[in-house]
Amino acid sequence: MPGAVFSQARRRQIACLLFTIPALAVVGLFFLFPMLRALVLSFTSWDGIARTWQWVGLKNFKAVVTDSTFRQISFNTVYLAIIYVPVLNVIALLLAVAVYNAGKAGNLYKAMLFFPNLLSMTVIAMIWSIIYRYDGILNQFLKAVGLKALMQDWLGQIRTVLPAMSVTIIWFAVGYYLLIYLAGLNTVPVEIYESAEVEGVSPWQKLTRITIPLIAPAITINAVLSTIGIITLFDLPFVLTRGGPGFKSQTIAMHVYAYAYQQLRTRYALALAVILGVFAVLITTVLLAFLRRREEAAQ
Amino acid sequence: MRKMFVMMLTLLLALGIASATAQKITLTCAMMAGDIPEQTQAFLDQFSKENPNIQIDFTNVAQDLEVYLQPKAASGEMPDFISVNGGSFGADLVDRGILIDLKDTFAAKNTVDAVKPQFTSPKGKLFGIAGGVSTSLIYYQVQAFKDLGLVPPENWEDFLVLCEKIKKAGKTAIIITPGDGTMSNTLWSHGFANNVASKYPDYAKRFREGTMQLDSPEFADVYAKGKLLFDKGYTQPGAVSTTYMDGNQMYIQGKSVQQFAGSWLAGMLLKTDFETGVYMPPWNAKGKTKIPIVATETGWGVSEGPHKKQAIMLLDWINGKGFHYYQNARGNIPHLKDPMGPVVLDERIKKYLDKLYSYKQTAGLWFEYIPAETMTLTFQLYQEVLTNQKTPREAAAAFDKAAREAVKK
Repeated sequence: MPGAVFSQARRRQIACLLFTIPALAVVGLFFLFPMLRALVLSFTSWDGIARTWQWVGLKNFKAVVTDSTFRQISFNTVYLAIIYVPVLNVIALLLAVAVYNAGKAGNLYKAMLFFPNLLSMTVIAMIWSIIYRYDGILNQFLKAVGLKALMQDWLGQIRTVLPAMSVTIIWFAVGYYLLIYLAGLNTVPVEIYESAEVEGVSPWQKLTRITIPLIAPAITINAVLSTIGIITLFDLPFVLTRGGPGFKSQTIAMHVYAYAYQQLRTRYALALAVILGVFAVLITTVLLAFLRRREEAAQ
Repeated sequence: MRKMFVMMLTLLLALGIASATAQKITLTCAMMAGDIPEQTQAFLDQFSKENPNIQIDFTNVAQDLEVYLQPKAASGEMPDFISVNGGSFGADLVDRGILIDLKDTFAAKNTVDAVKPQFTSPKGKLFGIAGGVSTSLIYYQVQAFKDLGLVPPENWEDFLVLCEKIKKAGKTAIIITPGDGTMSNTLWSHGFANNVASKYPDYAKRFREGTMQLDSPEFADVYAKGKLLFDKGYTQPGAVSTTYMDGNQMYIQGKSVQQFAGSWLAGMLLKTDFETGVYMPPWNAKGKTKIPIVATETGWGVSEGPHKKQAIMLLDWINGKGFHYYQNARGNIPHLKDPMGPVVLDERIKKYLDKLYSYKQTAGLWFEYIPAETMTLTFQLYQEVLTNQKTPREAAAAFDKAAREAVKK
């Protein structure tokens, strides 16, 4: 249009920008600003209450990393990630394939497996604490089937607490990840499976040669989401074990809380939260790069 | 004309004052009342009824009081009237000017002196009024004691003999609750009282100054005693993960002959289907005098702010003529010189108190004197000892280090 200040394309750009401002403002105010504020404060002596503080450099980070519990909580977090991410994804994938092939009963299975996701993690933890306690359902079951010797304090022993917690988290999360895999499976053309049938391909070969390569994007999404979920896990161990016995099931995220609100050492909580954030970003980036390469190779 | 002007001015002033007096104030009130939420709301309503210009916006803080208050303090949004525990957290708030000094209030004057030091900051400011007096004691099944020919023991050695007899009878001797922090009120506090406070009566001051020597065999024995009960099989199966509520339920269901718990649970544990008695925990060695626990219950504080006058009115009311509404709901041990109303207290607890008050030396509960930074460590170390991750001596050394570092901070 003659005399127009902006071209059509430019006007569209400005309009897009204007429409995103409210969302950006919300993200900036409630996410970016607190995050940056926490990052800055992690380098200070802020005690969580005072309006003033001093710059202390890396002192808080040094104190957190040299704390006697740091090694234990890092081990717990990595242990849970190593157990949880592959086991969860394998189970969710196998169940997704089974549900996909289950015909009309598939919807019922989906509903059953997704049901735990409708409950809060706190409720899940309460339910499983009843299952795991010494006079709880699991031990009563073992007693009833003549395995009394296996009865134990599942959450009160160092060798059983993390595996017990892993089972609970997998039970909770499997339905959610299953749905993502199912969405991936639905994008695979049925003709490919039909051709494979004709060619006499075994179910195992169908899974490894057709299904997995073709749903690689879903695997990537699930692997990344489950890794972030487990690294930042807080509510389940907080209610189920309170991090015990000792610190044997304390995760890094729980320790951030412990520093801030139980030990009233806010500056250490901020430093540990920054370490956790950086760790999560690093792991996710590496995982994403690896899985993307696999996706490309599969295609 | 001038006269008229003065009259109008007076009239306007009078109207202003009248409207100000009629103005309703809403007090924000955050109280720890998880066990008596309805009753708390009811007595706050009673206060509003007696003071129609003061409405109360009540928040029930179910647990973790400090977790609730710390962000409020940081953001300058403290409720006008709060629940507060004795110890370092409240002391810090009053010394920063976030809570007010209650020294000159009626509530303070009506409170017995024994429960004031726990609510006094290092600068000498009274930041809270205790909600009652507390202690921890052993509840036991009277019939089971009779059947086994047992009498309440007087020292640790006799206690072990008693536990052995109960175990031989095929029963659980005592419930411990290391699954959460509550065993700090029982095994830890009594161990500390008899092993350490008996030697250092100025232990609270030593903690404050960072001179409390805890890397010692005496303090290690605080952990060793619990470990011994556990290893000998006197405690319930699955003891390490047993929590406070689980432990209480087990005793009520008759799954153990004894339960080690606070006086604040008397209302629950004395109303069992079987007859329950109480006795003083014998954590003293043979030939040594017991050091029992006399401590404070969670109390109340007032925040600095525009409504502090009305908040003090509420404080004085709860610690005066409104006290019986609160006490009758909880059934706890009064901390007031004059409770100004009917007090409900179980006869067994009354008798216990008579004996308790006859002791010359007593000690407080753990949270009243250890640094806030070490509070979760008390039970985490206990769990580590019970699961053989640490020896009692290593646990003592770890606690000693943490307590000193906290003071250095």
